[in-house]
Amino acid sequence: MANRCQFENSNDIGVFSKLTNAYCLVALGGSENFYSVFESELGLSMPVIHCSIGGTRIIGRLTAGNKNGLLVPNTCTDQELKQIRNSLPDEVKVKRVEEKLSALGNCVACNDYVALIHSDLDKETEEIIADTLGVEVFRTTVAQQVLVGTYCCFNNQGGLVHPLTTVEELDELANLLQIPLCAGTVNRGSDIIASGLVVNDIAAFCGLDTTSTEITVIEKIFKLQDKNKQNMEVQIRQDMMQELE
Amino acid sequence: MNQGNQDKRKQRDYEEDDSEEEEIEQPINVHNKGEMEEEVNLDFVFLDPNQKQFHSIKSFINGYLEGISFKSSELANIICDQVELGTMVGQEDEDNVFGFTTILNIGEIKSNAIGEILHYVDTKSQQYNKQHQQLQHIFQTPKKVGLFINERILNLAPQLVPILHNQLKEDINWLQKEDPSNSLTNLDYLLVITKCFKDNDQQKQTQKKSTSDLNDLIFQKFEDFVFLQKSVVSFRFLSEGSKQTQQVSDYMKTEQDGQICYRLIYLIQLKDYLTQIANIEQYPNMLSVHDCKKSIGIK
Repeated sequence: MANRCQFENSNDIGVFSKLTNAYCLVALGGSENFYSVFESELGLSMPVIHCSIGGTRIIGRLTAGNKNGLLVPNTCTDQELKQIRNSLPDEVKVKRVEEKLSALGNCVACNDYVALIHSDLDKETEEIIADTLGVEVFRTTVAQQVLVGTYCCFNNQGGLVHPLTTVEELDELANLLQIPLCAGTVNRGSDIIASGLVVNDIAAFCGLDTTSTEITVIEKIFKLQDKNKQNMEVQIRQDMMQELE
Repeated sequence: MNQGNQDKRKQRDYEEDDSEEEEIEQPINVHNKGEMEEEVNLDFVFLDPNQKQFHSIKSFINGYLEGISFKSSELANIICDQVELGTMVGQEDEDNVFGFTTILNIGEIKSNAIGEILHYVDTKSQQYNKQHQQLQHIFQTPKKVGLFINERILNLAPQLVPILHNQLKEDINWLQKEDPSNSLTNLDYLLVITKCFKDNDQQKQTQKKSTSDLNDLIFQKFEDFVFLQKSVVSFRFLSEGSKQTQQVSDYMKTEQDGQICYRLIYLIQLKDYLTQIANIEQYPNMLSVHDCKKSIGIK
């Protein structure tokens, strides 16, 4: 299910939160409304952790992670790192990365199996990503943009990319990632996909301004629809085919 | 009715040779540590509100009520739709807006966002305003009160500011000629919600007279100083920082490099506003870079 929410009037959910299949990080200082949307959807299945990175609230853009691990930039203080480590499940490896490009969330897009990274990321960082997150790493661009973490967003079932991505690029990326991809927008036409949207295999959260068309696209590509609804659709299609025959 | 106004507006554009879209070339001197002065020419364009600017406008008004959640998307929509009154400054062929001014009739517009803003003003006025009765009296005729929204990026060239206000004045004059029944032509008062700062050490000084009190304040937008002098009702209060987090976003900071942030709310009569616009034109030339920094609250 795709849910709409807002962080203090800002529709940039992906800036203030990080969602994976094992945990969810949220920034401090938001209203109770924001947290309650996350907790009601995810509450029992995974921990929702309040934290800050380097004293800032833009944790979604600074960190990269999946169910296997979490990478934080060198701006993260020892205290914050300790707090995050303590709050996360034991299976999740947390590592601080010494990298010039410290906005890891903008440079890395990943699910539990594959990661796309910024073309200029260090070799060392690439190895850390492969090791900590347990993924296969590819250096690539999305719609000629190097900030892959900003302009695309994917879970284990599907992905959404920048609206100006060409069909060839879409095919190429879909091949690399082995999941279906779709070009689209969030938050009423914004092309900065990952700042307006966080998604895992069971839920997605996007800004309040997201139109119903955009929500439909999101639910379809990330396969978040109710199983009942999906079965119904298949049944209707089968019935229609029978009638035509 | 609105549709009629929009058509008239477009007509005016064609008739008056794009007076709504003006290219102003502002040679701005860049002092480069004792090296030769470099002139950088920048072109700014003044535009009517339109829906493409929605995202920029929303980012400006997100912090309007000190981070309190309100229907800012609705408000941004209303601003973008009101083509007949309002000016944006941006660059050619880009949807990003660097600043804008507009006036919304709070009595006419049926919106939750306006309701929330009025509720905020009323609550704060009850707590901090010595002239609360006067404010309530003025709000009894909401159709005579306009919400004056004037936001821009912090370091926008000050030479552009008088133009923004002058455009508003021209818009009102045009409306009075073309569509005198429009609710925006019958406004008596403008409500302004803005920000100002005070140096931290001055708090310890003894009480000063009210006239010099105004001079102690550091205004984020220099025109507030000019308009405040003619305001009928004004009050300020400490900006509420977030209590849950140590680091707060800019618009909620209570202290900024030894300065205390206040929210300032004032009511000014429309006719006074229109006359005072002439007085702000002298400031951009007077302001050196240093003064600019001081007037916008940076040490």
